[in-house]
Amino acid sequence: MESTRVAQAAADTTDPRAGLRAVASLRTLADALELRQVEAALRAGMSWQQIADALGVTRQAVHKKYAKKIDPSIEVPRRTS
Amino acid sequence: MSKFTQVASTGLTLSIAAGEEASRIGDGKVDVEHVFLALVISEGRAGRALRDLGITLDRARTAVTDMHRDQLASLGITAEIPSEGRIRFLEQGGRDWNERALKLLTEAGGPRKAGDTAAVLRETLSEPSGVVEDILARLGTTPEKVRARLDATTPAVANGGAGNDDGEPGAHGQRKRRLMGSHTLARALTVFVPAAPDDVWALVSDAMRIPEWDLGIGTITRDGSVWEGRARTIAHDGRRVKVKPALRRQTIERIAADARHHVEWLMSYPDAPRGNRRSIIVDIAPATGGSDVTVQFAWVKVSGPTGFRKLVAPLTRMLARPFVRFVVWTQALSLANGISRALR
Repeated sequence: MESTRVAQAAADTTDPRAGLRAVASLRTLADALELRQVEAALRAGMSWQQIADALGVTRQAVHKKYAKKIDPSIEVPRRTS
Repeated sequence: MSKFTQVASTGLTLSIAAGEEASRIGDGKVDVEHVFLALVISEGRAGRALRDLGITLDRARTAVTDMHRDQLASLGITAEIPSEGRIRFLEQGGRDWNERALKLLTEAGGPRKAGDTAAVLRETLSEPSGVVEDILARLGTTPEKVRARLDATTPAVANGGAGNDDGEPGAHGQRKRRLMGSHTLARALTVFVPAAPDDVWALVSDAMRIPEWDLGIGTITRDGSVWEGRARTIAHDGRRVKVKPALRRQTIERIAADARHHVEWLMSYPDAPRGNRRSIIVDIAPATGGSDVTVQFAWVKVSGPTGFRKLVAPLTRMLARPFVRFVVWTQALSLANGISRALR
């Protein structure tokens, strides 16, 4: 999706209630995608620190949020430093 | 059933089902739409009212997916919320709740409200975000129509235990008393399962499929006319489960299997000959949009206490009764939920 179209649609404030609910769906989408990407990263052997760096949050934050939610069959890397 | 137990059992059953539905799509918190999906498959008035309106779990799930897709499209984004289509609840353990979703359950148990599934549905219908109204419109109905159908739906007919609206014991309750009379700890409860009776039968009558719905059993092997089950030592979420060595092996017998609607299992522990045996009886009845499945769970006593413990047994039994009743109910609920989860 081209950013201009997103910006146009998101800027449509004629029906704020529908707009706000759409933003809530966007948040749900973002959360669902984030978990998938975190799992993919761990499967690819990335460390929690590398995942945190890419997401722009602290290692503690990403670990706290996902340690118990990820697929238990994933081998979770131990902290080395 | 007291108001407290009504609120507690409704809260527990709905929160498990809502959490299971939320777990199908990644990380999302439990939100209003998941409570609605939980109501669609709930036993009791709310579920029956919704299903009588032709709302099945599949249709409701599709409506939720469509709603998100359309809302994203309104922002100029073409995307689906990714879903694996399978319940990951057991792997992920407890889930976080969105405040507005949690409020639906707490408000339903408030003053002058019954705290049953019907009360939660009423709260959901008047939920201010408009999410449920949108979903209902996609299902070809309105909050008013659902409310009218709910008013016209009579309380449950046959309920044998906690976890359902209006706990009047029916046929199942009588069977429970018979079991209780033979020195057993037993609870029965009925759940709605969104699958055809034949599919439920195929699941619950096959010993090899017991691990799909009995969380305590990891593997099954056939041993002549009986089966041998091995306790699950690694939980679904990867944690190690402590199981006493004597309880790791169980002998599983199928006591009865009648006409595709009634099956009785008896699990005994050969390494703990004095230990209680587990009895699981499942009855399947057709219902609108699926099946009503009644699970009777009982601990069958093999031998009573001896020596000093025999003297104090009546007292400890009396003191422990409410707790034991609750524990046995949760065990029955776990089995019933397992059957429902395996078929969703």
